[in-house]
Amino acid sequence: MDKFDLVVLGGGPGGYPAAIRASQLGLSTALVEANRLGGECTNYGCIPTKSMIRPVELLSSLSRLPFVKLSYELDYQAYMDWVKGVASRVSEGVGSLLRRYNVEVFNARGWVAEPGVLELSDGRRIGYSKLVVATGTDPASIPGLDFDGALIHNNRTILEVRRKPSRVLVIGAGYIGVEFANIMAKLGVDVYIVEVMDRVLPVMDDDFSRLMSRRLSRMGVKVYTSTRIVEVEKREGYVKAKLSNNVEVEADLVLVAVGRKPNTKGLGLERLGVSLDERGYVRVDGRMAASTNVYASGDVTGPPLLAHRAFAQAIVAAENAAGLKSEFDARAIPSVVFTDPELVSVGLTEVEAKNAGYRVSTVKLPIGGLARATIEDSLDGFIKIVYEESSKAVIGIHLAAPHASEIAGELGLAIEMGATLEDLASTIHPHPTISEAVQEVAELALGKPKHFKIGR
Amino acid sequence: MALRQVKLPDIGEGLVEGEIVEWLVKEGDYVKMFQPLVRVLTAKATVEIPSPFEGRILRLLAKPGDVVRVGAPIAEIEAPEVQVATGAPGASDVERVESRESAREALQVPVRAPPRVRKLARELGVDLSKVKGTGPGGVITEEDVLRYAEESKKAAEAPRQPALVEGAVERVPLKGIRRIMASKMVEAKSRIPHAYIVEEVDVTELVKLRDVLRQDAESKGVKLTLLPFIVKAVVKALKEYPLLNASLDEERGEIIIKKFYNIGVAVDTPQGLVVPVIKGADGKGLYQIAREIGELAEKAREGKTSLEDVTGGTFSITNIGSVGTVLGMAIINYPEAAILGVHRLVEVPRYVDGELKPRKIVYLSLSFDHRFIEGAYATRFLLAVKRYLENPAILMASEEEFK
Repeated sequence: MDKFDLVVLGGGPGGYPAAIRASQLGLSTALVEANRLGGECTNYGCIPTKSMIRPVELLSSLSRLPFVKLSYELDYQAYMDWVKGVASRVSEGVGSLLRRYNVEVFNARGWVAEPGVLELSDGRRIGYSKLVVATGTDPASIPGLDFDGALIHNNRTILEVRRKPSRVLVIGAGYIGVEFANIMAKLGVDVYIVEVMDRVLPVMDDDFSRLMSRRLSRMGVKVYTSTRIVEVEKREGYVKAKLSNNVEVEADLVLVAVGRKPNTKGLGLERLGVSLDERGYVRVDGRMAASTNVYASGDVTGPPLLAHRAFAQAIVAAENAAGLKSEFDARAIPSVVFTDPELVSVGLTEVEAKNAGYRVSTVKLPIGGLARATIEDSLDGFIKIVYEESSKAVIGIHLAAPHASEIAGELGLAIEMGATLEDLASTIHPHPTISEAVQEVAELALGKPKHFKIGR
Repeated sequence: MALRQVKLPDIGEGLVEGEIVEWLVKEGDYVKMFQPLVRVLTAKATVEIPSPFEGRILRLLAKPGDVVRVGAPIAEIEAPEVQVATGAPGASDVERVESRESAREALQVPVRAPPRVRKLARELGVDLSKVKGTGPGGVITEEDVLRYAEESKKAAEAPRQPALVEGAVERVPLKGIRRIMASKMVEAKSRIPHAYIVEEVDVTELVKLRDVLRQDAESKGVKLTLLPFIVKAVVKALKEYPLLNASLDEERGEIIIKKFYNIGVAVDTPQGLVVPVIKGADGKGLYQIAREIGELAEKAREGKTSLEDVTGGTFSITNIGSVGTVLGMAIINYPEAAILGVHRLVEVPRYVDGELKPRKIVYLSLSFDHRFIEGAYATRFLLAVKRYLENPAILMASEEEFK
């Protein structure tokens, strides 16, 4: 039986960076993944969805220009093949990286046979000194509405569809549902989105919810909040759904995006003294330790389920496994929703800051005043800054604007470094860019904005 | 669902930290808002901290025995979404509760340290919440962390006593009331220049009076010792010598003379020293004082003393003689001005009007703050106490003053 210093269960963002870091630290390392390397993010999440968005955004930007006479045809089958190709190339990149770091990859399912030993689905057994559990999550389904890959889809199976639907029903207006609604609407599909909570993006700041409701409606998406699915009747090639608001919807396919469930069953974790919370996520401490010699990282440790958070946790897990003192203590984990405009939330919202015991103020600035927003013809957006009153330290920034995802790193850096309003206001941002919003909102908070009239 | 942190709230009295005594809930429990979560020992007493949220306890972040700073997280609660979802029915009510909650905790300021500094602090085992930042706008720098680590190392090395580790030893953690006693005593002794005086008091007449009153008191359910008489004598003398009922405001260079008389009475408990306070002693009668002393001492011994019971004292009395020593000099209960030590009652021969007689004698020692109380002034105060105790008729004469 081969034995490794560290074995990682799971090849997604919570797993493969742990293997790479462990290898950098001189540990003999193996990684066990039954599916494709890169995990949910690379194969079914971040990468394919953003690949879907880019062509759609290019086309929609072009067609917004009044002086361009454009006629185009989108070959949906080739488009989705291309999306899949992008995901494959990224996944292969992960594989070659692991090879170059001498990480042994076992393409199998693995579970704990006894402490220190994993059993693999191909019958092999491997030993470990330290284990990192990074098995991620699966899409959650709605009772009675099982995924069939034909009419009822999750974020994975919908990528296999090769015929462009003309009507789509999206259940759940979290970020996955909203991103798909945005893509489909821009492809000219009739989209219905249903959310049981009273707003779209219910876990985000409600300014984002209001903006996104408005944007989706403007794209022609029918948004039903505080609404649930009463019944879905499958017909030949389409479904007929009855909603709790008595609306009936016909759709060629249904995307169920109502959340995720952790992959913690059947792994034998109970043999290691790992404890799960009531939703089944692995409980970890700041060092990502789940039990003696057992670490967990990424989505399997619970929300927020974000690839970049998983990366950071994976590194912390590996470093602790290698005996370093490392802790996951990020102040600012950016959440990004890739819609039109992009939404970015970094650090605390006003409500979270107050709950954390800080005395804070919030200042909000519409982005319509930025020259670049006019150039891009994308005036509907805002930036909000949350700062602690006594120190003027910035503890949260929330931005709805084109290219917001590319500015998120700056926002995170500001918060992690303990920047104050004056720091942001005194840092020269290039003109004309959307990033000027960051400087401008800090100036506004200090009562000296350049491009905004104070008061009314 | 929203993850909320429960922070050790500001319990008042300028306390900056507390020791976790006992969790009243465990991980996984579902708690209601205001349900008691944890018992915390502060510098003065044990208090119950109620939950600021409703929800499920995900993690307890401190164990019994841990000393936690005010504002530091002690637990994580997973609260139902409705508490944050705006626009949901009843959301405005919930938000009001939250803002009140945050107002109470609003003293908190985020620890600002860039990631590289946090990493360094982790490696050196430095608690950043204790480090003062000298960077721009109070940001903690690498130098701040290094300096703090160096200072703590020196502080840890300083009291190294080689003799302690030779031979068989047992190491007992200094915790609970005893830990607090240790820091309070250091504070009092290092800040107050103590001076001491002693008087011999003849309580033969007082004991006779006490014996007369004792049965009456017992019929009213009151156990009458000499201590309530001493409390009364002290209060009367304090009114004549107000500097003994004062504190020194070092920062402003002012003496704060208190016009209220809250007399602390030191009680030896199995857990350590506790000083419950008789509030407004000048407005209370002898029996009432006696009853309160009994009740407070009982609570102290059972470990049920509340914060209310032990705060706000203006002068303290300690019964040094209860176990039996000839003479002891007490340490002042900072920031009070003085403490009276009462010694064992002994029967000894004394000349009374030229005749040798058996007399009941008690020594009283007074420790006082010599920064603003002269020896003569303190002596006059102690003589006034002596006069009241030796002449119980005078002590009780103006009883109507005391109701």
